[in-house]
Amino acid sequence: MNKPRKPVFILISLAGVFFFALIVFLLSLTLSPILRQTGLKAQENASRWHDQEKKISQETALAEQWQNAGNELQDFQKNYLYRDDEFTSFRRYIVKLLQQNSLHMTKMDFKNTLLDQTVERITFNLTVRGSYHDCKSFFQAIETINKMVFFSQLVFLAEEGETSVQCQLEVHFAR
Amino acid sequence: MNRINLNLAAKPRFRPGRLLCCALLTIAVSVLFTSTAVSKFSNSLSEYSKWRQLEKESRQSLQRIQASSAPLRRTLSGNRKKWDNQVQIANNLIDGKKFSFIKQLDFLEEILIDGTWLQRLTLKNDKNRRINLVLSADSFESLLRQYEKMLPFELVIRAESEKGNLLQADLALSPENE
Repeated sequence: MNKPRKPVFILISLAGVFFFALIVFLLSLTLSPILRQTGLKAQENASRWHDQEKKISQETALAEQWQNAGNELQDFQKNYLYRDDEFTSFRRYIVKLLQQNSLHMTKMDFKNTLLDQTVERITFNLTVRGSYHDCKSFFQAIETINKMVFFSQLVFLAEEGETSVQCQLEVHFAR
Repeated sequence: MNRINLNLAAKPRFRPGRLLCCALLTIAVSVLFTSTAVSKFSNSLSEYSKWRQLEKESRQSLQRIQASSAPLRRTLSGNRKKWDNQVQIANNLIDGKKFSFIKQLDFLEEILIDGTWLQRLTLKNDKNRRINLVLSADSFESLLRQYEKMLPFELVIRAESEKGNLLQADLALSPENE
């Protein structure tokens, strides 16, 4: 009586093993794409965050540059603009330069312009008379001043053997 | 006519060889299924964990950089407009300072020939940088020779007139476009 049960038991066991394997296989077929999809999402996030990081790095580099620019601006104002209290000394220097170059100043007027909250421009309109070479020497002396002072316009007129020059001299002061 | 012989009481015959084949085949297929599934799943899992790790690292790195650069970027956004304006002003001043009237006067001294004189000269420190001048010449020939010398510098002749024995010409030049 025991003899036929053994093969049946073996067959049932085999079927069980087969179905287990099949279920595992099917599960892997189902889970793998889900895992893959989630992995791809993670990849996308990583890539997006990497791009954001790059952008922030660029912005930071730019911010550092601008911070340096801020420092450079302060240096610029300190080194190349006149201080408020230097107006009279600058006037004295101009008069001295004119005398040194034997030039005669016939007219002078001023105009103030605020370029922004930190820089003020004073435009000197002056007319000088003398020889052409003395005038040129005066302009050269102004050009070599190591501050933001320069002519915006020069009008030369030949008058009775002399040269008369209408000058617009721009001088910049830090506020 | 064949005789039908059905014996329902008879037991199926047990064939061990066939059972063994069947068992081996089933086990082989099962092993194949399982190994394929395990390999596929482990591949997907390792890929997944790799991307998850990368995602985690990227997020942490982003948070770190955001936190470290935030004060600097706040400063920039607060001051950008102000600094922009100041830089613009500073650059304009530097441009103005770089311009040399002496160079322009040297240029004019070089190109003016004997027999011509300047009556009026206007020099401007601007982007255009054209020289406007009124010139006197003792003869028509001198004036023409002067024009020839000025031609390479975008010479514009605005007007000519006669004043006593002298000829006068109102001209414009661009020495930068030499």
